[in-house]
Amino acid sequence: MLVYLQAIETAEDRTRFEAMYSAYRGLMFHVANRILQNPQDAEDAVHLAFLSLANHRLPPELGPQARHLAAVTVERKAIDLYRAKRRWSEVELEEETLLGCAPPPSDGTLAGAMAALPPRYREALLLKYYNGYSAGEIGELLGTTAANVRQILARAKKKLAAELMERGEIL
Amino acid sequence: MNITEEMLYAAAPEAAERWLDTLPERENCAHNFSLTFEASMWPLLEGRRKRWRTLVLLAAVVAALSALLVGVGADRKDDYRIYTDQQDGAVSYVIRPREAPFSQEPHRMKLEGVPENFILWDTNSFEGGFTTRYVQNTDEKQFIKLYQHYAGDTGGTLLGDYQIRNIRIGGEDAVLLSLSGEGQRILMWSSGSNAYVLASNALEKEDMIRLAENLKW
Repeated sequence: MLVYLQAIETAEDRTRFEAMYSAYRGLMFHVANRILQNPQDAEDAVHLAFLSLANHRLPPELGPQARHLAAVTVERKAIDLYRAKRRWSEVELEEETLLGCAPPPSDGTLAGAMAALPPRYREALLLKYYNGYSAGEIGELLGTTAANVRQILARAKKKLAAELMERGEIL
Repeated sequence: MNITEEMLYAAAPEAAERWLDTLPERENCAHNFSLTFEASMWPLLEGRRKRWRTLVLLAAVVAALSALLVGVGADRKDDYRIYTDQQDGAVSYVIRPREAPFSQEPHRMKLEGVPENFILWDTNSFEGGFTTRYVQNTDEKQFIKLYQHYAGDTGGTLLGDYQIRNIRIGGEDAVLLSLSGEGQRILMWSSGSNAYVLASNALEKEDMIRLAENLKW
């Protein structure tokens, strides 16, 4: 019975992974290519993203959460690849400028400010509060430690608070 | 001011939606992935399939032992040379050379009889293989590309509505995949200790076979 249950669990896991592969690999390529501006490098980023996703807890079905997970994972791999190729060091401002498209405009709401955060902050925040991952799981996906993720989350909250204070939305 | 956990959880779905809205829809993200990419993904996808198949087989054995009434069969393809499996709009393939891999220095095979309007574009090496690519001199998107694997099995997963035909190359089993409507063809075969994949979006079936049968040392 144990073996049987394990088989079902693994079959589900396999189905989720293959479903994500079929459904989002085109989107993931687009996200990576927008950053890297090179199809071969973009394919490498997609491959690296799937390597991360292969050992990760995946959403039970295709939908916004799975789409977000796929897009965020490949975005991070593409940014890391971009840095590695250009030997750029970690600077959040650079992440904002290297991306091929602008983040959605912030309208003074908390949701708007979260969506408009620099990639690293947005990724960590939404993986935690939208996808429901722990700091350890986020660290595995983004290629960093759980301690660093906690630090990123703390900084992201400070930045959010500062942004909203500036607009006088929350006092 | 203080942003609470509850506020973040409440705002996160809308924030994610706003960011996702900046990305194109799935149907606008079509991309023909390279065979190199497909091949690199194969171990990931196939490895998971194999693990799943093993566990299902174990479950079947347990069920058979318990019931002793129902016969359970498994389709074993351990001795395949070219194995293809098509389901859900994807073709998985594995090519297993007849002979053991080279113990000596591998040698790149040459394509003979490439149409005159094609020029050699690049040659590359990767772990366990070589690639040779020709492109049309008037349209670089028209290509002929040979993948030569000398280090044992190779395989991949190709997404698309491929038509599969079993043919013969030099007396050996071969498989020709044709992508409906796009003119892309992929020919797979093995010879000696090598596995070959010839891909082109410019050649007819007969030309693919002719090139495959005329590989030169």
